[in-house]
Amino acid sequence: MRPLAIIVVVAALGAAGSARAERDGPSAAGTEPAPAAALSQEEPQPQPPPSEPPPASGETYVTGDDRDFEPEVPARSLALGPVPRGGMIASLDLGWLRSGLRADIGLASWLNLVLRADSLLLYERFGGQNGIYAGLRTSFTPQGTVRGSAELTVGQIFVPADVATANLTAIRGSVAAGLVLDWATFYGRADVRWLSGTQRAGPGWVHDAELGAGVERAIGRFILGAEGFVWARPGLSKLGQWRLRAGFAI
Amino acid sequence: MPGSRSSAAALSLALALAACQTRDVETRPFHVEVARSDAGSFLLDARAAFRFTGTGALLEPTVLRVAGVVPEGGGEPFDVTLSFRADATGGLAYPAQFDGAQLTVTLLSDPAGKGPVGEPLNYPGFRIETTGVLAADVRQFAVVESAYEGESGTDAILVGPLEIRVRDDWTEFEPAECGPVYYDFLEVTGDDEVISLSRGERGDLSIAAPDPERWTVLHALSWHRRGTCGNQAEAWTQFAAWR
Repeated sequence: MRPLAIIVVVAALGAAGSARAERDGPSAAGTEPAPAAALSQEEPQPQPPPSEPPPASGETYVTGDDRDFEPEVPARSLALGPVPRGGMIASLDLGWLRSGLRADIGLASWLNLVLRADSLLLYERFGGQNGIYAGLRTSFTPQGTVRGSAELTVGQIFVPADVATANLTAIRGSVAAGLVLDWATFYGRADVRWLSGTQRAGPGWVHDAELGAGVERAIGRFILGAEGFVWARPGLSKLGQWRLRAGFAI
Repeated sequence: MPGSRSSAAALSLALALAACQTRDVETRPFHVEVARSDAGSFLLDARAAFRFTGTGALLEPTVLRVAGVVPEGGGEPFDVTLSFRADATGGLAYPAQFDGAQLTVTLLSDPAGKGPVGEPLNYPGFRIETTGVLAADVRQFAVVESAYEGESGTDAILVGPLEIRVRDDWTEFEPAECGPVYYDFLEVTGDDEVISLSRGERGDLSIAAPDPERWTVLHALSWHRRGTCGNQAEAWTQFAAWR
């Protein structure tokens, strides 16, 4: 949808009326125009540009499509967002250990709906941990060179077992920040994930974390990226991970 | 240049494939060893439990000699030395009260027993208690470890008054070469409470109401595999308890 541009067209009626009365006062009274007034008619005062701040109170605005208006679309980024309102970016992650599909849908210029699914595709195909998630992502300074985002998703992980499929509840919080340059985007991110089984007894919520850095390049509607990160788990050894990313703006 | 681009792509692919790291769970069994001063053996044709008494002597924090053990059928007394690996889990050692005390030992033996990577492991556990008139005077110490089959945990493992089950869990795993290894937890039942212990955790609870002393259970490690290589065990548990 084309955004509406706000254009200031007319000044306040009262102010305009009094100004016109001052400028045209003698003519309106049927008297001869004063030399100064005749001069002002021959050399009209320059009109203020539309983009100038509106004058004093009592003014009137008219809104509508500005056919010359070109909205500034922020450079596309899978890691930092945002996806413009009404838009969507579908992306594919191929990585070790996790691979997945993701859709970022623009709810507002700074807020995205996130839908995600992943599995241990390269390691266990779909026999390992398969998860689906939904959440929100907000982006800070979406037009700037320095850009940041924060994301929160909630989901379920399904683990095929011998007897039945085990379910886990997963909550993930993520923050990312980076530099959006003309030819590439560089970013770093930090995630914390909480996991819990559905059984009544058990260890309760456990958590792990990811700390990584990556680079992206947008080519038209396509976005390609690569990322390396460390998977850290309390009390267990850290593991290096990676993923390749490809996205398409719809 | 097309050549440099394809070289870069090949290098990236090689790095990516090289980064497909696997890692197995680090398991350090207690590896109970039993030595008799006579020529006898506690290993029979099948699993068995032996019970004997003697006088304790702490040779090292994890090495205990039980002297003056009298055979069931009569005969010359002999000594039994029970030891376990000191680095199995941090700080586990025999109670100092065992030194010089009259001890009763229950020893489990399994001639076909194996460890986490298929190595022979013939003594899956033991329980040692001091003799005393009052319950508060009795010290007890038990070590248990065993491989088992399946990924659904275990039935209750009874160690004296303790009732311990291994419960399968799916929240944490290691990406081992032949499939993920999931860390399991212990469920310990007390008088009026059930506690869950993850790997490395310890908890205490009351087992028998008249007994004023609380038991402490240390869960060293439990896991089950989704895929094995060679002689690897499907599942493993390892814990200790004392009061």
